[in-house]
Amino acid sequence: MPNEKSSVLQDSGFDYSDITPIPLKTIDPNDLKTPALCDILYSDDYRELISLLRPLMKANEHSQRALYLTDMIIERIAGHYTVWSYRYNILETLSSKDKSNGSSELTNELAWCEEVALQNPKNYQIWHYRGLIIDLLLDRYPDQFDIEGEYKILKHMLNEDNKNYHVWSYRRLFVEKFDLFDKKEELQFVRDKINEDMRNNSAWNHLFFLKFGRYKLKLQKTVDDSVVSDEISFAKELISKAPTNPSSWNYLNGIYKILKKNIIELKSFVTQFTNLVYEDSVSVYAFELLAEIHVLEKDLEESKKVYELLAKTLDPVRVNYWEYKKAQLTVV
Amino acid sequence: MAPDTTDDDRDKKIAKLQFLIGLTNLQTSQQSKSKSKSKSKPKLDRFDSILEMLETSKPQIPQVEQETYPSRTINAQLQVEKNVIGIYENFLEKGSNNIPEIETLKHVQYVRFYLQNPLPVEMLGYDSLHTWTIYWLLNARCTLGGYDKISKVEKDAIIDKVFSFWMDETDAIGGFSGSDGEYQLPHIASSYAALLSLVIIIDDDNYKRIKKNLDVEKIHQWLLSLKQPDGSFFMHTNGETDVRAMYCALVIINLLGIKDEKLTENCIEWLVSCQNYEGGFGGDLMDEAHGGYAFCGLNALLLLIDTPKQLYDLIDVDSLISWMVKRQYGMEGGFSGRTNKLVDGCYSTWVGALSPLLEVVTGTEELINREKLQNYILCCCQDPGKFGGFKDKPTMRCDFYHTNYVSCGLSFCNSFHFIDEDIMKEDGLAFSFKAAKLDDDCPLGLVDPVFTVPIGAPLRFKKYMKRE
Repeated sequence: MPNEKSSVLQDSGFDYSDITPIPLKTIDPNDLKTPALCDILYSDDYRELISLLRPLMKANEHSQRALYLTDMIIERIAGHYTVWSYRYNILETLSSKDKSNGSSELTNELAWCEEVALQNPKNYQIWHYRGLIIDLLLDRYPDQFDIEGEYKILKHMLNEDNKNYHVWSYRRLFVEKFDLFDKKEELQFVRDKINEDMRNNSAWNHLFFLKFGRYKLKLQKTVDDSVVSDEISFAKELISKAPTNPSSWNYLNGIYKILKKNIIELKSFVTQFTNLVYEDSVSVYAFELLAEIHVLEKDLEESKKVYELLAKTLDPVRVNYWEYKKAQLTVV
Repeated sequence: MAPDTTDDDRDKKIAKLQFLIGLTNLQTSQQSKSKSKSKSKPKLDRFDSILEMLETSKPQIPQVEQETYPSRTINAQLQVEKNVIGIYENFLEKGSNNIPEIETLKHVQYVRFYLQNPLPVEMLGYDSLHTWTIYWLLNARCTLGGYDKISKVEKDAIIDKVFSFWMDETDAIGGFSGSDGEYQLPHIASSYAALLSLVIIIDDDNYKRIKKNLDVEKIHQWLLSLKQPDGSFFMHTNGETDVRAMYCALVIINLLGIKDEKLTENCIEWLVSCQNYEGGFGGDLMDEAHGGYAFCGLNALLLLIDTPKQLYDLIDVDSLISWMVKRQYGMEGGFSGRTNKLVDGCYSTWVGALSPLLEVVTGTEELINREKLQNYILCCCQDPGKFGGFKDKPTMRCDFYHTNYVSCGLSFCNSFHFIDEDIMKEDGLAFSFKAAKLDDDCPLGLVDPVFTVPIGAPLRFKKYMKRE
């Protein structure tokens, strides 16, 4: 163990001297006989932190000094799920209603989460953890929860990385939890995201969720006609701006699929793009949809021609797939 | 260690024959004889294939869109296209004798070095992924041709290590924690990775020891404690629920033979609802379609159903295929994980394994373009120097995760899969996948697309678990 002077915890303001450390086993880097199998040559400070964490966890100690220790470890390994889980248990105790500063423990924790999130944008645990803390806050001190604070951090995170999977997933849960499907700001945010980058598929997915989520989740029996026609127009407008963008095509197609609408009505729209010849690019999605429309029209010959065109000239990397689609036609 | 070698050889020969006459799917071969056509596609050599890729592929984003609507996506995509084209052109200039091959030797050296030696402190982040790091390296070693070369010393060390992660202090807890069982929580994905390492190394000599150490009933109880009424599983206490947790749990359940109604209740319903409007699967209901989750989602279903055709009753197979093939980019040849995202070598497994699975389900010869994926892997995911390992894309560094999943992807490029109907009836669909090489000279091992371990290993493990 490192001596007191070099302790990584010397400036912590907490006293850990009563704890009997449980040290991690030492590794001999010169042992050539046994395969090390990914044992890590830990640093002394990490060894010290874990050697204190283990007895504290064993004793189920839910204290400020334990909380501080988890902070130090997460700073070193953000993906340390055990420590996240232990930290949650600590907070659950520290924020109980009989504590004088229970609510500020939780609001401080949300602020701490933000710092960690900004430093670890790809982390799995943090957003789930944040959700758990918010649930605690809502359960114990509902008037202390500031929904605007959530918007702020989410906005910041999605500015940094506009396709961050975990953040978008958190945002979806957040919308569901507070029933924000129709909230103007939420819709404006996601439309702005799409407008600044039409190929941000995560934003398209979120828009789909806002507009059709309640229907898909069976919270609603139907989708308003006006919503459907607005979204179809929106998708068409953006396809017209960028006809090779798969995100807007998938959105349009997705609406038809989920509502079981007839794609034949898209024929005149689609043919605008199958007739459009760019020198350097082609709207594969328009051709794929056109082939499917021909199938519904029972015009298998036309459909076959489209698949052949895709396989031979327009989209040769997917030649196997187009051949497969063509082969399916004869089966039908 | 390669039990049943003669059987395997026979299977390979039969399979190859079937494949050559255009019948990759043994299961449907009887009914589909009339409709199958013999297609002999001339195989391009790699030089011509790269040349063809550059000549015929169009950039994803037309010039006019680049100019009118510049965006982050466009910038990032153009950058990758530029890098990759540069690399391909460079190889073409050097001529057909210098097109990269699979540099098995240096990759094996990389993997063996990291299995043998302790990791430097810079890799501290792996501390909560310990069972994963062992599995990634061990499986990569097998895929790179070392399945039968793992020594008894190594196997014993792996068994010791894996069981050092076991937590048996708490009654209700079983499973493997990320590392050093005395202080880390058991975790479904960590347990999955630990179990896969045991699946790889189990043999006549050590199975009794493995069996004795695995407290199957405790694992069963622990998984039940993580099960949610909607069908999903928590990854760990206070943890998240997602399609990964579901897939990993079902792999464990199937390997240990503890499938029961309580564990599988509502699983199918929950999984099916994770297929989103694009055709792929998200991590949770209505999340964005993603390669990793699509792999987990489809395989989780295959671990629950009895025959491949049942898939058609559950999900929209056609839209999954349509989404899957769109993950492959013409200029790069590699796969992206999501719509409008960049190619990344790891999707050679996450998306690459979907292709053989869906080829079996549909009875199709080939869905994705193996040749072009292989071009990306060989030219862009391995370093030109003497250091081994695989990576995401040319500008990145090699790591354990990519080394495993890119190797598996490369194996998928060089093989095709089919179902053994007898095994399917006897042991379940997920255990019945067999494979054969497209090219006998390929040095890579065959990989199971459901469990991502050497083909045949899951069934062998299951049988050992039943043996006295």
